[in-house]
Amino acid sequence: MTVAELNPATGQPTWQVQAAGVWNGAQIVYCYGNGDAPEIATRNDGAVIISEPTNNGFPRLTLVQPNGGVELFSIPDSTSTVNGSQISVQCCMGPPMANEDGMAYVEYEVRNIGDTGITSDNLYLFQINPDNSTSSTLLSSTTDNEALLPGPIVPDGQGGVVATWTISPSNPPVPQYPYQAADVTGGSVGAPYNLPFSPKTVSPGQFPTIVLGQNGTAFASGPTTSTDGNNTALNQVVSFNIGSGAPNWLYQTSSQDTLSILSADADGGVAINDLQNGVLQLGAAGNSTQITAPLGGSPQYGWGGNWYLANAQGASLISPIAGVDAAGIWATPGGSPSHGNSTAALCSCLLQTDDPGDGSLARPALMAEGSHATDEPRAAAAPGGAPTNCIICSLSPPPSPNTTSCTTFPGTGATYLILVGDGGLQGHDVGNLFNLAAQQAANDLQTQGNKVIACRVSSIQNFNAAMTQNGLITGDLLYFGHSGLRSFSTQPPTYASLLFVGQATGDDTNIAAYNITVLCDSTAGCNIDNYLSANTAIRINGCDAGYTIGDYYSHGKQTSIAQILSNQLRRGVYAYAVGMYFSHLDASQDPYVDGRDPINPKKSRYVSSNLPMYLIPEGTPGNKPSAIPFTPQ
Amino acid sequence: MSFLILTVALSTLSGAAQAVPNSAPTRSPKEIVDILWRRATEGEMLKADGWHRASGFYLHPTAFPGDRSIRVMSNHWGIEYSSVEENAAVVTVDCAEEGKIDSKMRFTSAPKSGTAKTGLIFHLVLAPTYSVMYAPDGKTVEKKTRGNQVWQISEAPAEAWTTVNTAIRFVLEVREKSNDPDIKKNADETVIRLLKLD
Repeated sequence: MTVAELNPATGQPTWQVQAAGVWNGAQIVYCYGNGDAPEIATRNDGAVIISEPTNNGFPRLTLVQPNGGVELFSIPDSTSTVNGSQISVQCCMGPPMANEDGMAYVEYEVRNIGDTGITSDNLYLFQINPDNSTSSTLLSSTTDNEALLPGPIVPDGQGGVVATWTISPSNPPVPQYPYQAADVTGGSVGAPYNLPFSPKTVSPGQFPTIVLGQNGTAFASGPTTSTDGNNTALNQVVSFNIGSGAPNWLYQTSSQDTLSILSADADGGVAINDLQNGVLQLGAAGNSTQITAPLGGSPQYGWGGNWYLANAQGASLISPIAGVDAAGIWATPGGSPSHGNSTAALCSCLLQTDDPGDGSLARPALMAEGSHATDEPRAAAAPGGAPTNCIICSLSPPPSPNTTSCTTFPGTGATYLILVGDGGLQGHDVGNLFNLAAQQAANDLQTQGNKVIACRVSSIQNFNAAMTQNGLITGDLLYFGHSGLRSFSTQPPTYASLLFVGQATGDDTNIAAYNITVLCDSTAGCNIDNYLSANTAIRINGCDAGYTIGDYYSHGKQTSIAQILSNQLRRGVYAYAVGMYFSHLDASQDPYVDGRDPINPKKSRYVSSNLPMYLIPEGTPGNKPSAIPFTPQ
Repeated sequence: MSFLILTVALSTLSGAAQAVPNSAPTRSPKEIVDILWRRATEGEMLKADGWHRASGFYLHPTAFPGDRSIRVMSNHWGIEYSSVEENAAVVTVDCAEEGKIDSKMRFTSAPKSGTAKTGLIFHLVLAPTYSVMYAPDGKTVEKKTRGNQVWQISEAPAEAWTTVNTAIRFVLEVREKSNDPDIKKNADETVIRLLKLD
């Protein structure tokens, strides 16, 4: 058994930790049974915590630094005393968990067994601080001939964690509520409470799946038993208060059915997969809405915001089925699409907070690109907020709808057009970062000998004027600006895909299906071939413009603003289906996954207002996703 | 004498309505929603009289819910899109729901949407108005005449609502009038949070 970290670009191990063999009868074995394999969590500094649930040869608790340095932690032994002879044994560890503040946690059990059974059992919460110092806190203890099996740990959304465990008696019956939980904040253990599940049996490694909702609510799915007198085993999803365990509502199904949690949703509810009834959304009050017919399997959420369904051919991309709380820190099972037992907001687009003091990711940002927070300094910026080598930064928005505000960088090659949208308003303002990324693109294109016309745009009319008043564009048209999805407060949620060109409100500040005909309106005599060459491609540098969704402004048709643009302008469009962020390194060099600060993921990472500047897609370093091509339909 | 004047006035209104019983609505769906939002921005939807004045905008108006809970919307809002199809219309508003203020002046942020921007959809229908003439008792309906058709919003709000800046004024006014130290403390905290919104 080996745990290894693989380089995403080469697939080669960057470090690995191997287990020792274990004597089994007359031979050494290196195999592991169900539930015995090591569990892993990734801390936000890149360190990996590995725990071994049993005594199968792996160290009980290991921390591997990003550079491969290994640190082993001492976990107290359990004891077994038979006929007065005591031996020390390695007992049980739970899965580790890495919280957003850099703390990591894992539960361990110290079980003392005598001739008559379990004489005492103590369950501890082991805490690893960011400097790798440690402490242990007693969670629960018993002398009732029962084991306290370590369970998973989830964040409580307030900086603390909820530790869970299972009461497993040596002899039946299982208690009515064997699954226990307690909120632990600042080393203080809150009153333990029952999770409202009553399974007929319990076993190590089996525990309800928990995701964190909003406003102190969590959701869990797991086995229980009917209370109608038939004593039937059922699956159940429950909403409960994460501080007290008090249930808000329960959703149960028939004995033959299987329920699994897909995600905590932005509307305060939860999306579940009911194997017999399809994907359902259970609202904050427990009201059920069917989203899909039965899918034959349980969909999985991906880092790019897409849903996938495993099938015989591998995995297929399916339509969005849930309004995932993308800013939630444990919105999907295992904390993230990686199931890495680590807190992670799903999209760095959504990390701006209106109140840093309350410790919450309080509200969605209009700003899609996340690497610059407005409250951060721009120490490197020249007077006026822009460096002098950024000509585009000095362009003003056009004074009226059908006018342009452009600058030209001469060249003898093809003519490129760069359109730069507004930076955004207070709280979502990227300052000059779009301008800087556009300037970088202009510099790179001019270095290659091309002519570049760069224009500021604040409305669809500005966009159209810049496109149709600059002669024939023989290179590509590049857009740098806000884009993405708008959600409407409907049940189920409704979405639209737009380019948020302007920062003002109003029907012409955005580009969407409802006003797309403003761009080179053929009914008014516009011929796109007069303005864009047949080889011109449109490249959208903005968040989620290639994300396909049931677009409200297209009467619910599955499409994206990239496809809508391609259809209207009869040209190929390249756009990303993921968020984007700013970096001084290009996509092949940038070492980050997204624009979050690695120390405080609630914050966006600082970039200075200087060149070089790139707007790059979220994704694995060295293996960023490519822009998706869209062709006219 | 005052009753006689009222009757004459109602008769005149009724007559005018009868002359153009099915004329085109004087305000478009977009104008209806725009006026409603402007009034909300001015704080009209926080007061019973303002709420009642706006009741004509709704197909099924509701009683003023009081100010037990105030829904706070973003300062920045705008009509994004409107469309009319026969007797139905849709208007979408580019806005963000920021949160709620309870009667103790505690502010709770709205759930996160998970998308870059948010908005509201208003459904409107074309509905007739009526002119009503009452008997001398002021209660008995003598005549109910169908008048112009107007656009009305199908769904009425359940809570008083306004935008951030007006909410700040509302909280400050409540704070000023209250002798409850908890309300004053909550109001102070809420104002600090509201000032960070836009």
